[in-house]
Amino acid sequence: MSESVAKNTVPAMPTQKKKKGSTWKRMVRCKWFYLMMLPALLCILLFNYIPLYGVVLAFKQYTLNVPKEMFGIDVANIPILRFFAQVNAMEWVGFKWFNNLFVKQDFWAAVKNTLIISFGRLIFEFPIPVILALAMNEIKNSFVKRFYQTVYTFPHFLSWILVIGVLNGFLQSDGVINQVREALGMEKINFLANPTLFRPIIFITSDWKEMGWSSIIYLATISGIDPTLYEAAYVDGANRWHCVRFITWPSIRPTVVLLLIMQCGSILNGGFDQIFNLYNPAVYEVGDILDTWIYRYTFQSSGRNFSVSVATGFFKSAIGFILVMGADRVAKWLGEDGLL
Amino acid sequence: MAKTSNKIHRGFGSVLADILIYGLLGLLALIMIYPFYNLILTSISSYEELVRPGLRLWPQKVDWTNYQIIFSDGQLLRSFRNTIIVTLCGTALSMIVTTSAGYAFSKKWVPGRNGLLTLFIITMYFGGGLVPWYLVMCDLGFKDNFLVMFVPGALSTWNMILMKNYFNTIPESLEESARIDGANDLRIMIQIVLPVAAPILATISLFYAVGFWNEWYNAMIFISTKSLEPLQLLLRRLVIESTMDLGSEMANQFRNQNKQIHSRGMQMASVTVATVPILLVYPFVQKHFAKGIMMGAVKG
Repeated sequence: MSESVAKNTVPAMPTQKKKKGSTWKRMVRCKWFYLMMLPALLCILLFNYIPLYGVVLAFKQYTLNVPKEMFGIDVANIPILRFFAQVNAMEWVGFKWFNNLFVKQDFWAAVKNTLIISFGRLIFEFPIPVILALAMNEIKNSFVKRFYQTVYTFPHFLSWILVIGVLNGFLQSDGVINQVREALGMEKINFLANPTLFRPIIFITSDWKEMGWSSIIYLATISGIDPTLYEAAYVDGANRWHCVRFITWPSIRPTVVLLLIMQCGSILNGGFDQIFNLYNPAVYEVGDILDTWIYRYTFQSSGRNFSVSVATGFFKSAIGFILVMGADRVAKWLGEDGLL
Repeated sequence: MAKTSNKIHRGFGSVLADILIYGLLGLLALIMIYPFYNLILTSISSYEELVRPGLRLWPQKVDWTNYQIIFSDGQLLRSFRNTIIVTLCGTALSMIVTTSAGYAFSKKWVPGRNGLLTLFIITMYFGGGLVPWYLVMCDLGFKDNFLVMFVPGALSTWNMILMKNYFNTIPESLEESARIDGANDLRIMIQIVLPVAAPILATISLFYAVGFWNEWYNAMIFISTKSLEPLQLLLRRLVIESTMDLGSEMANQFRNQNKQIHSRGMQMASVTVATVPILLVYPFVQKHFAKGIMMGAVKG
């Protein structure tokens, strides 16, 4: 439709002209649009695509040394070129850092924790918003419904730092839960330093923060269902459960499946913001995920080695790439739009 | 619809289901609200109340000491000011970048548009990792630079796609007459398209504003000068790392008068101060969110 509109807006031109010339002409006519895209393109170029080149560091010996010139150009004062020159000047070392990495035990522990926490999220976090949306849909009083939705969604807009600040009133040694336990004559628990409780706390706090927000997409889909479907079902003798089971659920099922596939594609992201702000050395063995491991290894460890960090990032990206492409395939195979 | 659902609602099983659903959702709402109530309750409690064992459900008396102490410290106000500047500048910059790109990408006939859009979508799934990004940022001069808190986050591809999808729903005929009159595309966007796109502009600016208000990661990595620190980073040091003290001067004055101060109360007061601005804006814009999310679900 927009194609035909586009043709209407430009002066008539001979359609039989050479293809190349006409594309160029169309591009010139669209010059303002390219200009509008430019700032955004600059953003992804600088902050996404140029760093991508740094991935070769995984196969090089990192040094701070910046050569004065590259291809005869003085690069010492030109950002980006300076970065390229620095990377190019480093020596190739092959798979040295990977061999180095694959013998580190805490690295494999981080891989294991990432997988456990991500699968845990699929089981303990993913279904909650679906159930919440189905339950919310049964509330017919629109004021109550809006009030609930407002309340459930709010924590999504707080940073993990604030959420943990709020929930500290419960989790700390003199928090609400421990006060109740004390009043009942039970022993106090140090929630955040307890390895058996750390993962459940991750799932529960994440549910608390995100379930309302995640349910909005299902509620929006449900609100698009044709009401006459329910009327017809009622005439045919359906009860409420039948309506949920045979009308509401099938209508959100494609969305559920697509989101599930997308989450499987990002299984190596365990949730940096949350875990980084919740964990402490006492629970590293169960809570350290790949992203927190990379962060600590890069910025906090005394024996830090940028190249090993890059190699870890490369390992994560490579597997993540396969997972996302796989998820994309599965989504398309199921007749969905796909991710890319 | 309402009539029919009333009919469906009759019957014992249905009433039971209603009781169960309303009950559970009500309980859930309580679980969502109570931590915030507890937060405020703790922040306005005196030391004596905080150390008294047992559960407190309402304040004996309102005590503003915690707030007096945290606001007596220039650090909190300074980081508050930094965060406000970051939020305002960041939102303005982001909206300019995102709106113009979103509008340009909504025009399907622009040559190369699909290829360029794919370049953006790829960035949502793949990246170079922490260290290459860190090195490029340092090379660009972002180290200990105030701009690091909003310039690198100026574009969210997700928001740009939401914007593009919204612009696609605006009928092209609206722009046609202006285009025939010879107005350029930038002017058409500003004078004709943006006024009818107010709902999406409101939604996306709020997404950005909240994001910048909550920014701490870039600041943690790149900012080392304490006076440039944003509010979230200060709270991180105060609440999570417990590596800082706020208002120690005034707290000492209080201690000299034989009054005691509980650090929990001060922490909770600081968290409240950072939460309240979001709480105040949130109810007014909440109704736009469902729309915004739904538009993101429509790809094209």
